Amino acid sequence: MSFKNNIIINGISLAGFSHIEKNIPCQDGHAFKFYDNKYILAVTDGAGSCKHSHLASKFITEKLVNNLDPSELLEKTNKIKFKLELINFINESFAELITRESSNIPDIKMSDLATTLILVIGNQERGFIFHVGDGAALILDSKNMENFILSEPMNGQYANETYFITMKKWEDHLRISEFDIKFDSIFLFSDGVTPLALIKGKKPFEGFLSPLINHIKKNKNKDYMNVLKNTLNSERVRKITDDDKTIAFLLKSD
Amino acid sequence: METIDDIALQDNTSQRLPCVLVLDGSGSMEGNPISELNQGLKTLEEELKKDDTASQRVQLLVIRLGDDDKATILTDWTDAIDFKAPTLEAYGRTPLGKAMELALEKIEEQKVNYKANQIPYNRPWIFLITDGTPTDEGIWQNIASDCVQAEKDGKVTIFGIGTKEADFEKLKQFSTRSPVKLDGLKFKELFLWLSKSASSASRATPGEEEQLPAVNWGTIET
Repeated sequence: MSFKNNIIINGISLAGFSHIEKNIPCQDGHAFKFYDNKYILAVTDGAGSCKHSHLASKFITEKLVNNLDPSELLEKTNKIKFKLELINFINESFAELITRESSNIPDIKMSDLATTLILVIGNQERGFIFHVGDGAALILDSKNMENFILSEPMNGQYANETYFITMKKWEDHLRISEFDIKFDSIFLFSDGVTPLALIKGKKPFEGFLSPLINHIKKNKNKDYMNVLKNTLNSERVRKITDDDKTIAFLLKSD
Repeated sequence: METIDDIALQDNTSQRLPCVLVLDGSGSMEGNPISELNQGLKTLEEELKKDDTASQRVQLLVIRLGDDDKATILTDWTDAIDFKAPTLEAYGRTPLGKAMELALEKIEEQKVNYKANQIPYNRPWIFLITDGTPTDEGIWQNIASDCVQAEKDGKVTIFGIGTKEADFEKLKQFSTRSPVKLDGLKFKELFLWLSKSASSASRATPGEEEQLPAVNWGTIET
Protein backbone atom coordinates (compact mmCIF):
# COMPACT_ATOMS: atom_id res chain seq x y z
CA MET A 1 0.00 0.00 0.00
CA SER A 2 1.15 3.51 -0.73
CA PHE A 3 -0.11 6.39 1.27
CA LYS A 4 1.27 9.84 1.00
CA ASN A 5 -0.18 13.07 2.33
CA ASN A 6 -3.81 13.16 1.24
CA ILE A 7 -3.55 10.54 -1.50
CA ILE A 8 -4.68 6.93 -1.20
CA ILE A 9 -3.51 4.78 -4.10
CA ASN A 10 -3.96 1.04 -4.24
CA GLY A 11 -5.27 -1.91 -6.24
CA ILE A 12 -6.52 -5.45 -6.00
CA SER A 13 -6.83 -8.34 -8.47
CA LEU A 14 -8.86 -11.41 -7.55
CA ALA A 15 -9.23 -14.66 -9.48
CA GLY A 16 -12.79 -15.28 -10.63
CA PHE A 17 -14.84 -18.07 -9.10
CA SER A 18 -14.78 -20.15 -12.29
CA HIS A 19 -10.99 -19.74 -12.54
CA ILE A 20 -10.50 -20.88 -8.95
CA GLU A 21 -12.62 -23.98 -9.63
CA LYS A 22 -10.61 -24.80 -12.75
CA ASN A 23 -7.27 -23.96 -11.10
CA ILE A 24 -6.61 -21.17 -13.61
CA PRO A 25 -4.54 -18.23 -12.30
CA CYS A 26 -5.97 -14.71 -12.14
CA GLN A 27 -5.49 -13.29 -15.63
CA ASP A 28 -5.96 -9.66 -14.58
CA GLY A 29 -3.03 -7.48 -13.64
CA HIS A 30 -2.60 -4.09 -12.02
CA ALA A 31 0.19 -1.75 -10.98
CA PHE A 32 0.39 1.83 -9.74
CA LYS A 33 2.89 4.48 -8.73
CA PHE A 34 2.63 7.91 -7.14
CA TYR A 35 5.61 10.22 -6.97
CA ASP A 36 6.41 13.87 -7.30
CA ASN A 37 2.66 14.68 -7.34
CA LYS A 38 2.14 12.51 -10.41
CA TYR A 39 0.69 9.06 -10.78
CA ILE A 40 0.41 6.14 -13.16
CA LEU A 41 -2.16 3.38 -12.76
CA ALA A 42 -2.51 0.41 -15.10
CA VAL A 43 -4.98 -2.45 -15.31
CA THR A 44 -4.91 -5.35 -17.79
CA ASP A 45 -7.27 -8.25 -18.36
CA GLY A 46 -5.80 -11.32 -20.04
CA ALA A 47 -8.07 -13.22 -22.43
CA GLY A 48 -9.73 -16.23 -20.82
CA SER A 49 -9.01 -18.47 -23.79
CA CYS A 50 -5.25 -17.67 -23.86
CA LYS A 51 -3.20 -20.02 -21.76
CA HIS A 52 -0.38 -17.55 -21.00
CA SER A 53 -2.29 -14.27 -20.80
CA HIS A 54 -1.69 -14.08 -17.04
CA LEU A 55 2.04 -13.64 -17.75
CA ALA A 56 1.36 -10.71 -20.06
CA SER A 57 -1.17 -8.99 -17.81
CA LYS A 58 1.26 -8.77 -14.91
CA PHE A 59 4.38 -8.08 -16.99
CA ILE A 60 2.83 -5.25 -19.01
CA THR A 61 1.32 -3.36 -16.07
CA GLU A 62 4.59 -3.41 -14.12
CA LYS A 63 6.63 -2.55 -17.18
CA LEU A 64 4.47 0.48 -17.95
CA VAL A 65 4.30 1.78 -14.42
CA ASN A 66 8.01 1.37 -13.80
CA ASN A 67 9.23 2.80 -17.07
CA LEU A 68 6.89 5.50 -18.31
CA ASP A 69 7.70 9.07 -17.40
CA PRO A 70 4.54 11.08 -16.68
CA SER A 71 6.47 14.34 -17.06
CA GLU A 72 6.94 13.61 -20.75
CA LEU A 73 3.20 13.64 -21.18
CA LEU A 74 2.03 16.13 -18.58
CA GLU A 75 4.67 18.82 -18.78
CA LYS A 76 5.78 18.67 -22.37
CA THR A 77 2.17 17.93 -23.43
CA ASN A 78 3.26 16.23 -26.59
CA LYS A 79 0.41 13.78 -26.72
CA ILE A 80 1.08 12.44 -30.21
CA LYS A 81 4.74 11.78 -29.50
CA PHE A 82 3.86 10.09 -26.23
CA LYS A 83 1.24 7.94 -27.94
CA LEU A 84 3.72 6.72 -30.54
CA GLU A 85 6.30 6.00 -27.87
CA LEU A 86 3.72 4.14 -25.82
CA ILE A 87 2.74 1.94 -28.78
CA ASN A 88 6.40 1.14 -29.48
CA PHE A 89 7.11 0.50 -25.83
CA ILE A 90 4.22 -1.97 -25.53
CA ASN A 91 5.24 -3.82 -28.70
CA GLU A 92 8.84 -4.01 -27.50
CA SER A 93 7.69 -5.19 -24.07
CA PHE A 94 5.83 -8.11 -25.64
CA ALA A 95 8.91 -9.02 -27.67
CA GLU A 96 10.92 -8.95 -24.44
CA LEU A 97 8.36 -11.11 -22.64
CA ILE A 98 8.36 -13.69 -25.45
CA THR A 99 12.18 -13.82 -25.38
CA ARG A 100 12.15 -14.17 -21.60
CA GLU A 101 9.57 -16.96 -21.57
CA SER A 102 10.66 -18.87 -24.68
CA SER A 103 13.14 -21.02 -22.76
CA ASN A 104 10.28 -22.30 -20.55
CA ILE A 105 7.55 -22.19 -23.21
CA PRO A 106 9.21 -22.83 -26.59
CA ASP A 107 6.05 -22.39 -28.67
CA ILE A 108 4.90 -19.16 -26.99
CA LYS A 109 3.47 -16.58 -29.38
CA MET A 110 1.73 -13.20 -29.27
CA SER A 111 -1.75 -14.67 -29.57
CA ASP A 112 -1.19 -16.64 -26.32
CA LEU A 113 -0.69 -13.36 -24.48
CA ALA A 114 -3.83 -11.43 -25.43
CA THR A 115 -4.73 -8.75 -22.92
CA THR A 116 -6.65 -5.51 -22.72
CA LEU A 117 -5.15 -2.30 -21.31
CA ILE A 118 -6.28 0.65 -19.24
CA LEU A 119 -3.65 3.22 -18.35
CA VAL A 120 -4.16 6.49 -16.46
CA ILE A 121 -1.41 9.07 -16.14
CA GLY A 122 -1.95 12.39 -14.40
CA ASN A 123 -1.35 14.89 -11.65
CA GLN A 124 -3.68 16.60 -9.18
CA GLU A 125 -5.32 18.73 -11.85
CA ARG A 126 -5.34 16.79 -15.07
CA GLY A 127 -4.41 13.63 -16.86
CA PHE A 128 -4.89 11.16 -19.69
CA ILE A 129 -6.55 7.78 -20.11
CA PHE A 130 -5.20 5.27 -22.64
CA HIS A 131 -7.57 2.39 -23.23
CA VAL A 132 -7.81 -0.70 -25.45
CA GLY A 133 -10.69 -3.14 -25.01
CA ASP A 134 -13.16 -3.56 -22.19
CA GLY A 135 -13.02 -2.63 -18.54
CA ALA A 136 -13.27 1.08 -17.73
CA ALA A 137 -11.47 4.11 -16.32
CA LEU A 138 -13.55 6.53 -14.29
CA ILE A 139 -12.50 10.02 -13.17
CA LEU A 140 -15.06 11.13 -10.63
CA ASP A 141 -16.12 13.87 -8.26
CA SER A 142 -17.55 11.68 -5.49
CA LYS A 143 -19.54 14.61 -4.06
CA ASN A 144 -21.29 15.13 -7.37
CA MET A 145 -21.39 11.90 -9.34
CA GLU A 146 -22.90 13.60 -12.36
CA ASN A 147 -19.44 15.08 -12.80
CA PHE A 148 -17.31 12.36 -14.33
CA ILE A 149 -15.14 11.34 -17.26
CA LEU A 150 -15.54 7.72 -18.29
CA SER A 151 -13.51 5.67 -20.73
CA GLU A 152 -16.15 3.07 -21.50
CA PRO A 153 -15.72 -0.64 -22.16
CA MET A 154 -15.35 -1.32 -25.87
CA ASN A 155 -16.64 -4.65 -27.07
CA GLY A 156 -16.86 -6.16 -30.53
CA GLN A 157 -20.19 -7.02 -32.13
CA TYR A 158 -20.97 -9.33 -29.21
CA ALA A 159 -20.63 -8.86 -25.46
CA ASN A 160 -17.99 -11.58 -25.22
CA GLU A 161 -15.70 -10.05 -27.84
CA THR A 162 -13.22 -7.26 -27.27
CA TYR A 163 -9.88 -5.81 -28.45
CA PHE A 164 -6.42 -6.73 -27.19
CA ILE A 165 -3.02 -5.03 -27.34
CA THR A 166 -1.64 -8.15 -28.98
CA MET A 167 -3.79 -7.82 -32.09
CA LYS A 168 -2.40 -6.62 -35.40
CA LYS A 169 -2.94 -2.86 -35.66
CA TRP A 170 -4.19 -2.73 -32.08
CA GLU A 171 -3.30 0.96 -32.05
CA ASP A 172 -6.37 1.54 -34.25
CA HIS A 173 -8.42 0.61 -31.17
CA LEU A 174 -6.40 2.77 -28.75
CA ARG A 175 -8.66 5.41 -27.27
CA ILE A 176 -7.18 8.45 -25.53
CA SER A 177 -9.25 10.69 -23.22
CA GLU A 178 -7.95 13.81 -21.51
CA PHE A 179 -9.43 14.99 -18.21
CA ASP A 180 -9.21 18.26 -16.33
CA ILE A 181 -12.50 18.23 -14.38
CA LYS A 182 -12.73 18.67 -10.62
CA PHE A 183 -12.20 15.16 -9.29
CA ASP A 184 -11.30 13.35 -6.09
CA SER A 185 -11.46 9.72 -7.26
CA ILE A 186 -9.90 7.71 -10.07
CA PHE A 187 -10.92 4.11 -10.68
CA LEU A 188 -9.72 1.53 -13.17
CA PHE A 189 -11.96 -1.53 -13.39
CA SER A 190 -11.47 -4.79 -15.24
CA ASP A 191 -14.62 -6.19 -16.88
CA GLY A 192 -15.33 -8.42 -13.86
CA VAL A 193 -16.11 -5.24 -11.91
CA THR A 194 -17.81 -3.02 -14.50
CA PRO A 195 -21.23 -4.74 -14.08
CA LEU A 196 -21.08 -3.74 -10.39
CA ALA A 197 -19.64 -0.24 -10.73
CA LEU A 198 -21.25 1.13 -13.88
CA ILE A 199 -24.79 1.35 -15.17
CA LYS A 200 -24.87 -0.35 -18.60
CA GLY A 201 -21.18 0.55 -18.94
CA LYS A 202 -22.16 4.20 -19.42
CA LYS A 203 -22.23 5.96 -16.04
CA PRO A 204 -21.12 5.46 -12.43
CA PHE A 205 -23.38 3.39 -10.18
CA GLU A 206 -23.59 5.38 -6.95
CA GLY A 207 -24.96 2.44 -4.93
CA PHE A 208 -21.65 0.66 -5.36
CA LEU A 209 -19.18 3.53 -5.59
CA SER A 210 -20.26 5.74 -2.67
CA PRO A 211 -20.02 2.97 -0.03
CA LEU A 212 -16.72 1.84 -1.56
CA ILE A 213 -15.18 5.32 -1.45
CA ASN A 214 -16.50 5.96 2.08
CA HIS A 215 -15.14 2.63 3.25
CA ILE A 216 -11.65 3.31 1.92
CA LYS A 217 -11.48 6.87 3.23
CA LYS A 218 -12.90 5.95 6.64
CA ASN A 219 -10.54 3.01 7.11
CA LYS A 220 -7.50 4.34 5.30
CA ASN A 221 -5.24 3.52 8.24
CA LYS A 222 -6.74 0.06 8.75
CA ASP A 223 -6.89 -3.13 6.71
CA TYR A 224 -9.53 -1.81 4.32
CA MET A 225 -8.33 -3.96 1.42
CA ASN A 226 -9.24 -7.19 3.17
CA VAL A 227 -12.84 -6.03 3.60
CA LEU A 228 -12.90 -5.01 -0.07
CA LYS A 229 -11.60 -8.47 -0.98
CA ASN A 230 -14.34 -10.14 1.09
CA THR A 231 -16.92 -7.97 -0.63
CA LEU A 232 -15.73 -8.84 -4.14
CA ASN A 233 -15.58 -12.52 -3.20
CA SER A 234 -19.05 -12.55 -1.67
CA GLU A 235 -21.85 -14.86 -2.76
CA ARG A 236 -23.82 -11.90 -4.10
CA VAL A 237 -21.01 -11.09 -6.50
CA ARG A 238 -20.66 -14.74 -7.53
CA LYS A 239 -24.24 -14.60 -8.83
CA ILE A 240 -23.36 -11.66 -11.06
CA THR A 241 -19.94 -12.58 -12.42
CA ASP A 242 -17.48 -15.43 -12.11
CA ASP A 243 -14.78 -13.49 -13.98
CA ASP A 244 -11.50 -12.15 -12.53
CA LYS A 245 -11.97 -8.82 -10.79
CA THR A 246 -9.56 -5.89 -10.57
CA ILE A 247 -9.90 -2.42 -9.12
CA ALA A 248 -7.05 0.08 -9.06
CA PHE A 249 -7.78 3.47 -7.53
CA LEU A 250 -6.49 6.80 -6.40
CA LEU A 251 -8.52 8.81 -3.92
CA LYS A 252 -7.89 12.26 -2.57
CA SER A 253 -8.88 11.97 1.07
CA ASP A 254 -10.60 14.83 2.93
CA MET B 1 -16.62 -12.23 7.07
CA GLU B 2 -16.77 -8.47 7.15
CA THR B 3 -17.86 -6.78 3.91
CA ILE B 4 -18.39 -3.13 2.98
CA ASP B 5 -21.48 -1.70 4.71
CA ASP B 6 -24.52 -0.87 2.59
CA ILE B 7 -22.80 -1.57 -0.72
CA ALA B 8 -25.24 -2.37 -3.55
CA LEU B 9 -24.10 -5.45 -5.44
CA GLN B 10 -26.21 -5.87 -8.54
CA ASP B 11 -25.77 -6.69 -12.19
CA ASN B 12 -26.00 -3.39 -14.07
CA THR B 13 -25.04 -4.67 -17.50
CA SER B 14 -28.39 -5.91 -18.87
CA GLN B 15 -26.36 -8.20 -21.12
CA ARG B 16 -28.51 -10.63 -23.11
CA LEU B 17 -28.17 -14.00 -24.82
CA PRO B 18 -30.97 -14.27 -27.42
CA CYS B 19 -32.08 -17.84 -28.02
CA VAL B 20 -34.73 -18.97 -30.53
CA LEU B 21 -36.37 -22.38 -30.30
CA VAL B 22 -37.78 -23.56 -33.61
CA LEU B 23 -39.96 -26.54 -32.71
CA ASP B 24 -41.59 -29.10 -34.91
CA GLY B 25 -45.34 -29.22 -34.20
CA SER B 26 -46.21 -31.30 -37.27
CA GLY B 27 -48.65 -34.21 -37.23
CA SER B 28 -45.94 -36.85 -36.95
CA MET B 29 -44.96 -35.50 -33.53
CA GLU B 30 -48.35 -36.58 -32.12
CA GLY B 31 -48.36 -38.73 -29.01
CA ASN B 32 -45.25 -39.31 -26.95
CA PRO B 33 -42.89 -37.07 -28.95
CA ILE B 34 -44.94 -33.87 -28.50
CA SER B 35 -45.67 -34.75 -24.90
CA GLU B 36 -41.96 -35.26 -24.13
CA LEU B 37 -41.10 -32.06 -26.01
CA ASN B 38 -43.61 -30.12 -23.89
CA GLN B 39 -42.19 -31.65 -20.70
CA GLY B 40 -38.72 -30.66 -21.91
CA LEU B 41 -39.83 -27.05 -22.33
CA LYS B 42 -41.09 -27.01 -18.75
CA THR B 43 -37.71 -28.34 -17.60
CA LEU B 44 -36.01 -25.53 -19.52
CA GLU B 45 -38.25 -22.96 -17.82
CA GLU B 46 -37.55 -24.37 -14.35
CA GLU B 47 -33.79 -24.73 -14.80
CA LEU B 48 -33.27 -21.24 -16.20
CA LYS B 49 -35.34 -19.69 -13.43
CA LYS B 50 -33.17 -21.40 -10.81
CA ASP B 51 -30.11 -19.60 -12.17
CA ASP B 52 -30.00 -15.96 -11.06
CA THR B 53 -27.71 -14.81 -13.85
CA ALA B 54 -29.15 -16.84 -16.71
CA SER B 55 -32.73 -15.99 -15.76
CA GLN B 56 -31.93 -12.31 -16.31
CA ARG B 57 -29.66 -12.63 -19.30
CA VAL B 58 -31.13 -15.38 -21.49
CA GLN B 59 -33.99 -14.25 -23.73
CA LEU B 60 -36.20 -16.80 -25.42
CA LEU B 61 -38.44 -16.81 -28.47
CA VAL B 62 -40.41 -19.92 -29.42
CA ILE B 63 -41.56 -20.66 -32.98
CA ARG B 64 -43.83 -23.59 -33.83
CA LEU B 65 -43.92 -25.03 -37.31
CA GLY B 66 -46.86 -27.08 -38.55
CA ASP B 67 -50.35 -26.41 -39.88
CA ASP B 68 -50.60 -25.90 -43.59
CA ASP B 69 -46.89 -25.08 -43.95
CA LYS B 70 -46.98 -22.25 -41.44
CA ALA B 71 -44.55 -20.91 -38.85
CA THR B 72 -46.07 -19.23 -35.77
CA ILE B 73 -44.53 -17.37 -32.84
CA LEU B 74 -45.79 -19.03 -29.64
CA THR B 75 -43.67 -16.92 -27.28
CA ASP B 76 -42.20 -13.59 -28.39
CA TRP B 77 -38.91 -12.36 -26.88
CA THR B 78 -39.10 -12.95 -23.14
CA ASP B 79 -36.47 -12.86 -20.40
CA ALA B 80 -36.03 -16.36 -18.98
CA ILE B 81 -37.20 -15.09 -15.60
CA ASP B 82 -40.63 -14.37 -17.14
CA PHE B 83 -40.73 -17.35 -19.51
CA LYS B 84 -43.77 -19.62 -19.35
CA ALA B 85 -43.28 -22.80 -21.35
CA PRO B 86 -45.92 -22.99 -24.12
CA THR B 87 -47.71 -26.25 -24.83
CA LEU B 88 -47.37 -27.38 -28.43
CA GLU B 89 -49.94 -29.34 -30.36
CA ALA B 90 -49.00 -31.71 -33.15
CA TYR B 91 -50.76 -31.23 -36.46
CA GLY B 92 -49.91 -30.22 -40.00
CA ARG B 93 -46.78 -30.23 -42.12
CA THR B 94 -43.07 -29.45 -41.63
CA PRO B 95 -42.13 -26.03 -43.08
CA LEU B 96 -38.57 -25.91 -41.73
CA GLY B 97 -37.58 -23.20 -44.22
CA LYS B 98 -40.36 -20.79 -43.32
CA ALA B 99 -39.75 -21.31 -39.61
CA MET B 100 -36.02 -20.66 -39.92
CA GLU B 101 -36.68 -17.59 -42.07
CA LEU B 102 -38.87 -16.22 -39.30
CA ALA B 103 -36.19 -17.06 -36.70
CA LEU B 104 -33.51 -15.14 -38.65
CA GLU B 105 -35.86 -12.17 -39.08
CA LYS B 106 -36.75 -12.05 -35.38
CA ILE B 107 -33.07 -12.15 -34.43
CA GLU B 108 -32.13 -9.25 -36.68
CA GLU B 109 -35.15 -7.31 -35.39
CA GLN B 110 -34.04 -7.93 -31.81
CA LYS B 111 -30.48 -6.85 -32.56
CA VAL B 112 -31.87 -3.50 -33.74
CA ASN B 113 -33.73 -3.19 -30.41
CA TYR B 114 -30.61 -4.06 -28.43
CA LYS B 115 -28.56 -1.49 -30.30
CA ALA B 116 -31.21 1.20 -29.88
CA ASN B 117 -31.25 0.55 -26.13
CA GLN B 118 -27.47 0.09 -25.87
CA ILE B 119 -27.87 -3.44 -24.55
CA PRO B 120 -24.81 -5.65 -25.06
CA TYR B 121 -25.57 -9.15 -26.33
CA ASN B 122 -23.94 -12.45 -27.11
CA ARG B 123 -24.11 -14.18 -30.47
CA PRO B 124 -27.72 -15.38 -30.82
CA TRP B 125 -28.59 -19.06 -30.88
CA ILE B 126 -31.22 -20.93 -32.89
CA PHE B 127 -32.21 -24.47 -31.96
CA LEU B 128 -34.06 -26.27 -34.75
CA ILE B 129 -35.76 -29.42 -33.46
CA THR B 130 -37.60 -31.71 -35.88
CA ASP B 131 -38.71 -35.28 -36.51
CA GLY B 132 -39.26 -34.95 -40.23
CA THR B 133 -38.26 -33.65 -43.61
CA PRO B 134 -39.00 -30.11 -44.85
CA THR B 135 -42.27 -29.83 -46.75
CA ASP B 136 -41.94 -26.23 -47.94
CA GLU B 137 -40.37 -27.41 -51.18
CA GLY B 138 -38.77 -24.68 -53.26
CA ILE B 139 -38.40 -22.49 -50.16
CA TRP B 140 -36.39 -24.41 -47.59
CA GLN B 141 -33.32 -24.85 -49.79
CA ASN B 142 -32.83 -21.07 -50.16
CA ILE B 143 -33.47 -20.43 -46.49
CA ALA B 144 -31.03 -23.19 -45.53
CA SER B 145 -28.36 -21.37 -47.60
CA ASP B 146 -29.26 -18.11 -45.85
CA CYS B 147 -28.84 -19.87 -42.50
CA VAL B 148 -25.39 -21.14 -43.40
CA GLN B 149 -24.38 -17.71 -44.69
CA ALA B 150 -25.66 -16.05 -41.49
CA GLU B 151 -23.50 -18.44 -39.47
CA LYS B 152 -20.47 -17.76 -41.65
CA ASP B 153 -21.03 -14.02 -41.19
CA GLY B 154 -21.01 -14.51 -37.42
CA LYS B 155 -24.65 -13.38 -37.10
CA VAL B 156 -25.97 -16.47 -35.36
CA THR B 157 -25.14 -19.98 -34.14
CA ILE B 158 -27.53 -22.70 -35.35
CA PHE B 159 -27.97 -26.10 -33.73
CA GLY B 160 -29.93 -28.73 -35.70
CA ILE B 161 -31.45 -31.55 -33.70
CA GLY B 162 -33.54 -34.44 -35.03
CA THR B 163 -35.30 -37.48 -33.68
CA LYS B 164 -34.30 -40.73 -35.38
CA GLU B 165 -37.04 -40.24 -37.99
CA ALA B 166 -35.65 -36.87 -39.12
CA ASP B 167 -34.04 -36.35 -42.53
CA PHE B 168 -30.48 -35.61 -41.44
CA GLU B 169 -29.19 -35.00 -44.96
CA LYS B 170 -31.59 -32.05 -45.23
CA LEU B 171 -31.24 -30.90 -41.61
CA LYS B 172 -27.48 -30.72 -42.17
CA GLN B 173 -28.00 -28.03 -44.79
CA PHE B 174 -29.32 -25.51 -42.24
CA SER B 175 -26.09 -25.15 -40.29
CA THR B 176 -22.32 -25.20 -40.58
CA ARG B 177 -22.20 -27.66 -37.70
CA SER B 178 -23.35 -31.28 -37.82
CA PRO B 179 -26.84 -32.00 -36.49
CA VAL B 180 -27.37 -34.15 -33.43
CA LYS B 181 -29.62 -37.22 -33.43
CA LEU B 182 -31.67 -37.38 -30.27
CA ASP B 183 -31.41 -40.67 -28.37
CA GLY B 184 -34.99 -41.95 -28.17
CA LEU B 185 -37.13 -39.13 -26.80
CA LYS B 186 -34.56 -37.58 -24.45
CA PHE B 187 -36.12 -34.13 -24.76
CA LYS B 188 -35.75 -33.54 -21.05
CA GLU B 189 -31.98 -34.21 -21.17
CA LEU B 190 -31.72 -32.04 -24.28
CA PHE B 191 -33.38 -29.07 -22.55
CA LEU B 192 -31.33 -29.58 -19.38
CA TRP B 193 -28.23 -29.36 -21.58
CA LEU B 194 -29.64 -26.31 -23.35
CA SER B 195 -30.25 -24.62 -20.02
CA LYS B 196 -26.69 -25.37 -18.81
CA SER B 197 -25.22 -24.19 -22.12
CA ALA B 198 -27.23 -20.97 -22.09
CA SER B 199 -26.27 -20.42 -18.48
CA SER B 200 -22.56 -20.67 -19.22
CA ALA B 201 -22.77 -18.68 -22.48
CA SER B 202 -24.67 -15.87 -20.76
CA ARG B 203 -21.64 -15.47 -18.48
CA ALA B 204 -19.06 -15.63 -21.28
CA THR B 205 -16.48 -12.91 -20.87
CA PRO B 206 -14.41 -11.30 -23.61
CA GLY B 207 -11.75 -13.57 -25.05
CA GLU B 208 -13.42 -16.70 -23.77
CA GLU B 209 -14.62 -19.39 -26.13
CA GLU B 210 -18.12 -20.67 -25.49
CA GLN B 211 -17.49 -23.93 -23.66
CA LEU B 212 -20.60 -26.05 -24.06
CA PRO B 213 -21.18 -29.10 -21.89
CA ALA B 214 -20.80 -32.53 -23.51
CA VAL B 215 -23.91 -33.82 -25.30
CA ASN B 216 -25.40 -36.66 -23.25
CA TRP B 217 -28.71 -36.87 -25.07
CA GLY B 218 -27.77 -37.74 -28.62
CA THR B 219 -25.13 -38.53 -31.19
CA ILE B 220 -23.55 -36.17 -33.66
CA GLU B 221 -24.50 -37.04 -37.25
CA THR B 222 -21.52 -36.45 -39.49
